[in-house]
Amino acid sequence: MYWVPSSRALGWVMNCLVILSVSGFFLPQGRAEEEPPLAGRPPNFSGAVGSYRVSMRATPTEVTAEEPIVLTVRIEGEGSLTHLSRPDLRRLPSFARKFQITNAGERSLPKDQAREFDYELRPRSASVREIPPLPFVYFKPGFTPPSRGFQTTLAPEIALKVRPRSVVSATEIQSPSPPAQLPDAVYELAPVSAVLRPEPESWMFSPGGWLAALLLPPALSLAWLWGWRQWYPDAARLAQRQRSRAAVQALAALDRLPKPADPAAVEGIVTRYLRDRFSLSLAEPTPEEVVAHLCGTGVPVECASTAAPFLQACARQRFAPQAEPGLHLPSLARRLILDLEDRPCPASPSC
Amino acid sequence: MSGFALVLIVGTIGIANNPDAERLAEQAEAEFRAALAAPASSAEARSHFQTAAKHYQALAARGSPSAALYRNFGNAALLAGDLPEAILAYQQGLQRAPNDLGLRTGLAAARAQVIYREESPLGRPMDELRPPWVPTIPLRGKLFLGIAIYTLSWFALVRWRMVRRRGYRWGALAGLVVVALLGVAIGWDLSAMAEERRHPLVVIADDGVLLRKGNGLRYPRAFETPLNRGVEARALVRRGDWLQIQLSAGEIGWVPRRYVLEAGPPASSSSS
Repeated sequence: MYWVPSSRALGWVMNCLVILSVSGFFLPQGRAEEEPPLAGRPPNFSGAVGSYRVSMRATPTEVTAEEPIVLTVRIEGEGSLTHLSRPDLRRLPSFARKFQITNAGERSLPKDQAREFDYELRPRSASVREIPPLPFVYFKPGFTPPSRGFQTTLAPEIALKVRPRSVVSATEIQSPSPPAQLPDAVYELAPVSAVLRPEPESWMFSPGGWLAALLLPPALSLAWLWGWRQWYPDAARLAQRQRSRAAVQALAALDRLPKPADPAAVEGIVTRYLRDRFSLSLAEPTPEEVVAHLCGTGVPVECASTAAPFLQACARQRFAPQAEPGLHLPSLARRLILDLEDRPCPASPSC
Repeated sequence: MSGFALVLIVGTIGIANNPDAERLAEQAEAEFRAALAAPASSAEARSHFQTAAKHYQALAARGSPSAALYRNFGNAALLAGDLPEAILAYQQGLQRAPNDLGLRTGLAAARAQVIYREESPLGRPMDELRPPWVPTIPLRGKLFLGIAIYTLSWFALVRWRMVRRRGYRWGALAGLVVVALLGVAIGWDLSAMAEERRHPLVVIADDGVLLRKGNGLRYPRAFETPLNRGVEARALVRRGDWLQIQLSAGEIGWVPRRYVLEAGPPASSSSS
């Protein structure tokens, strides 16, 4: 004999089974998680599914600004902690504004069903009064609609005492005497016109300015040289041939002679020229001595021999009872000097 | 010279056509005088000096500030107790007029108020090698002098070519040597100006600022001695909210930018 349940009993059993399966009774033990919904998920959702509590502790609570504080965030709860990620304090404005944040170590405490995360916080200034509350968003299953399952819990703030950075106190200054009175110049004001006068832009820094500064002086100088050559051709000719200063001075002295020129003065000018230019050491040389000396210095004979007639003419003018008509000694002297200066190079044959 | 005269004329016209600037300058002067009339060292006087300093600062921000403006600005800031601002203003004025006695006096008075730790040389300004009685020839003066001597040297050279007197030749050579030396000095000044643009002057604006070895609080201190307000330095590199500075004796470190008063164009930046 076998007991066969009645259809009514079977129907009752079936109903119970349906109810239990819908309620999740047949789900494996310990799998309290369900996938949190995407809809309505807060942006700072930590990913934790279950029921959690968060707390903080800090050491020390009295620091100097910019010195480190170790903050430990403890998350404990009945949900899974394995896949829990470290809360990112740097993304919280209330933390980032007040602290320089560095992640430190972390620990898993399975016996307490907790995980701890360490941070190094450095207060940015002495105005920081506390470590602000830390929000932790997790998902608690079982709510209808599921989006209502996102929960936020707060770790309460921690009061801090932050001292200002150390300063050099007045007693540590080099001189213990009080600061000197400010000088009178500090109490003076420049007039408004000077204050408002703008700084002039310097044209000299432009490329055109630099170019003008470099090229204008030589251009003006060369123009002067060219004009001088036009106005003073003899002197120019001498200078062009790089002739001596003695010749220039002698020519200038001849120009300054009064008219009629004293023969002795003309002879003296020429003699001085010969002394300076050709190192003639004789005080009153004779024409022959002058020619011989000039030849000795390398002057071609045809040039040197022009000195003798001139000196003879000077002697005649000086000692003759009457001056020779038509004899203009300054011009002859000028011609002699220019001829001596215009002589060819010393490679020419000489006496 | 014609360019300089033109700018002066335009500047003068600019003054006449810029009533806002003129009004601001007059307001600043009025505030300064009101401060002088108030009881010395009183809060009222300080308030007037602060307002005057703000007006001068606004004028300086308009562009092309003069050395006289910076002198007034520095005086107002110093009397208002704003040491970093005063030092920065005096230094900016001295860049424009190195021989201005008012600026030099103000800067010396401001520097005397900076507090340093007794046994540490950190942050102290270097002593100037040049005696104070030796005037500094500004760049523009050196340029004018150089051009004048250069011109005279050329004239002497040409004159020597004409008359062959040794004096002209030696004079021309000496002039060219002086021009060459001035050229070196001008090059040095231009290089210093370029360096100033690259690494502008900054002044520590708060007390107890520590130099760090890197751009962050996690970096250790570079020196144990903190720096107080008024210490002068040069900005080297900027990274985010941090600035690498160099003190007058060459020490380098990083400080948060909010503790530093900057002037001029920013220092070179690099990504953090």
